Amino acid sequence: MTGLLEIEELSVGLASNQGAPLLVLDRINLTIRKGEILCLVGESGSGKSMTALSVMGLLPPGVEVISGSIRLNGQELLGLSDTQWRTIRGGAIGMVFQDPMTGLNPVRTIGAQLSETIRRHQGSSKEQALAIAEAVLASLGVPAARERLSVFPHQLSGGLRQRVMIALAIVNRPGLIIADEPTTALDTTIQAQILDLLRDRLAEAGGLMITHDLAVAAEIADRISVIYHGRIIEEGPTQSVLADPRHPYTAGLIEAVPDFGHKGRPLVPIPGQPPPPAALRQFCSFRDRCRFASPACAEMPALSAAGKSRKVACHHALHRGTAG
Amino acid sequence: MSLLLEAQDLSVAFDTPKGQLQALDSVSLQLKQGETLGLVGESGSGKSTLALTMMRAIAPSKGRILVKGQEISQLSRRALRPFRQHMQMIFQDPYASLDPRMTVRRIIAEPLNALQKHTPDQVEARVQELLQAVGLPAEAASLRPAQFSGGQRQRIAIARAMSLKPEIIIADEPVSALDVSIQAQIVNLLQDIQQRTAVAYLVIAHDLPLVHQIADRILVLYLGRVVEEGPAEAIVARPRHPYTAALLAATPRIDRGGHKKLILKGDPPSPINRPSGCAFHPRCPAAKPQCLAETPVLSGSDEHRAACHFPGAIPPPLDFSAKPKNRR
Amino acid sequence: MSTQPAFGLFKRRHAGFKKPAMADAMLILGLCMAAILVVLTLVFGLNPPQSANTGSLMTRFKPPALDGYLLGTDQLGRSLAGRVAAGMPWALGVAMVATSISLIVGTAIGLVAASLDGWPRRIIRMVIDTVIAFPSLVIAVTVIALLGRGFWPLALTLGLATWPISARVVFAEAMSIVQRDYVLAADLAGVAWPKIMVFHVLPALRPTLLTMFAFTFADMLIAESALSFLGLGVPLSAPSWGNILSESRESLVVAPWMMLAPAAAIIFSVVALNLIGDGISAISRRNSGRAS
Repeated sequence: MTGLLEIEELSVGLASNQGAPLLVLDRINLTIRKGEILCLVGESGSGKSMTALSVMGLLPPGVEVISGSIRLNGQELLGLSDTQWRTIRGGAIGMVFQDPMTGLNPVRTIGAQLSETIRRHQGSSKEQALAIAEAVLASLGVPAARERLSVFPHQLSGGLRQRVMIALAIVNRPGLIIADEPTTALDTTIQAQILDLLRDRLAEAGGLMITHDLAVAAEIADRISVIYHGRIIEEGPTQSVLADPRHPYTAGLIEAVPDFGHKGRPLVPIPGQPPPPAALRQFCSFRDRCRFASPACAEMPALSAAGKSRKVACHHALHRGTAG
Repeated sequence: MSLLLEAQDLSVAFDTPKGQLQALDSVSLQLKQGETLGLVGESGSGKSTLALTMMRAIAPSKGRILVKGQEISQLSRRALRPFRQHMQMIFQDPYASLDPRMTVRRIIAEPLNALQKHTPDQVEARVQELLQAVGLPAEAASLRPAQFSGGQRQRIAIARAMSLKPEIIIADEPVSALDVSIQAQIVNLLQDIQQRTAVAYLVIAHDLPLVHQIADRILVLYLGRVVEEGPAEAIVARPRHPYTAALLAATPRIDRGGHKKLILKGDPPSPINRPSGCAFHPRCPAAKPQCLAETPVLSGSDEHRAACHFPGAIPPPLDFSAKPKNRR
Repeated sequence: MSTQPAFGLFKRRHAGFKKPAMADAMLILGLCMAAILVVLTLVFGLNPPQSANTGSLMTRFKPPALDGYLLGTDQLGRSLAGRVAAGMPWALGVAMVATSISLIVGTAIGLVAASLDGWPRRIIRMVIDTVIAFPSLVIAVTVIALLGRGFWPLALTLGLATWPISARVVFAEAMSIVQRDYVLAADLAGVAWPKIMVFHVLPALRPTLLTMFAFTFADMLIAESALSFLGLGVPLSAPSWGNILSESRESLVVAPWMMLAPAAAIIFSVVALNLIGDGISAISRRNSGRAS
């Protein structure tokens, strides 16, 4: 069965002045099925945003795909021309960014930006486009949608701006929506509203959400993929991974996050720091921070099956908290 | 146990082209030795203004600030200098709070050199002592901030704050700019320092679980006013103000068991156009006509108070009877 | 999966990728050119070429490369190459002193304005705006009338006419630097305001000051030449690039090459300084992307 989005053995590198490129993504595999929300969870430098940018064809200068394949509904996305990309972005794929101030054009009205993408992908007339824009804003809970069409982004609050970004992403009914840290910059009470919205909209088609926050992933994702140092190290249904993490890094993240009901017990941090991008990887990237490390960890573990729909890349995969 | 730091009916107002902005309105707080007070609020709550006002980077429009019993509310810059030894601050962004052109040694020693007289040897010894206390190697002293990660920079900032051995440290979002796996390191470091030196913390954050973890008491701010204050556990388990309940309900949790959903409508209001009566009434699920007419004041027991006409109207959203997750 | 993974590097047009190398190349080229000027200035300053003042009517108006005169001779038979060389210490020296005066005074006043508040700051800014509005030529003529001609009056005039420009730039930039967290941290640590200005704000201003130095130097060079051209600068007999240009005007039809020598010297110097200025500002823009 072909998935909606299939990323296969994707490697992305950062050009360096020492010959071999530094790997930002190392043979990533990801599949998203229709109607499913997958959260790619990682910290800064893990490569999670690069994954989203690769799927959109928006890698920054100096960063290039080295090998692998990205397919949307079976169609290969790598190697497309700029013209082909322009049909796909905003059409087949919608993207929601973290910071609405940079994702929205500050000198154009909301209505202008929405109708521009509607007219490009749906071929509507100006009046039709504005009507569609108004309808999609109203469906996202924006009050007085008609009037809002003529305002500029800076005149809106953070929550409303993010709703406009979501509107831009979904108005052309894309098959896949990619959201990169869409609620990180928002207040807690607004975040709850937006997550609620996203949960419905992302599941209408298929959604890839990038986040560093396991709790946010718990709220919205059907499946989680944990990415560390450019590699997927754990994957599985959300509740299963969070209740019973197999990789020491995932377990470490869960223990390091404060949660109500655990006051008095100190947080257990993960010692050290994530390593910087490197060219050659022979040993497991997490080895230096892992309390279960052993000589076997000199060899990079492969992502392999670990129970029902679960995958983990570790020589000492945990089971119910104890090392294997 | 004496009061180290106190604010009495603090108000701060700014004149803007759009009208007067009341950033803080009659805020009172008390901080005792060795205690951690957590200030929680969203944008527009005034929490950062409160931090800066307590440090006297801003002078309050009304009200008093007392440090160890002495009033500093309207003192001049020069008159404030002796008080700087007792209060220091940690900032949110570790990439902006350290001068990139200075060595770590100069950064950490700057307060020492400004306010006390020491020989260079004494200063060097103190710098090394501080580096060790925050878990950085001795060689770090000669390097510049650019060579350190976010978490390490925050450690340098903590070392700087500790250099004068202050009794009070105000931390404005000390870990929110850091990666999750590093946040716990810094939180533990702060608690460790508190155990060794009995320093008192005023921690400002938007992250309720974090504040609950480290604070003894919590103050909840909404649009410049304290809407609830009490012991951390009580605030989280039995919130009396509907806003606190909504904040708790909105906080995403890894553990979704036993979690009631209450989603507030609308946006946080602007401090320039304050709603009448209780500022929260436009978004409050339990609002009644009285809430538009009358501004509520803090009421309740000595320990746990809320500024609400109908405290406890929203049932507690967190259910601690659910089975805890698999945690060590 | 049946489809083959796609291989190969995908070539992309990297707009930003070339810039870093460009900035370094510009700076290096500019510095090399400036180094040549400095060396020549020192050589000719200590050893003024005699050919600058010796000439006979027998050798007047000789075109370049004829009879061994590299750039030709002027109306009095003096070697143009020699005159330009002799004028070098003057031109570059005046520009250097004027730029230094302008930047030192301007930076000091800009920093003071950034430190103060309310009325004192407003007064300083009014003074700055007033002096800028004043036609610099009027100031120049006045000062020269008072102090007479010569190296120091000229340098002083140029410096005093242009300090407000530096002051404005420094003021604006200092106001922004002062908002940074590390300045607030120093303030809350009890550091005295003058120390904050010197040890935190001034170092942060360094890239701006260096760039301003380069561009102001170029401006001063041209200004000196302009004043000399108008007869307001150096004593009329002394070789100054402006003077030489001025003399070339009268003989333009007969000896058009007379213009070449001073013009080439001015252009070479100005290009060198602009390259340095652009290079520094591009590099500091590149660096400010990394650390704050």
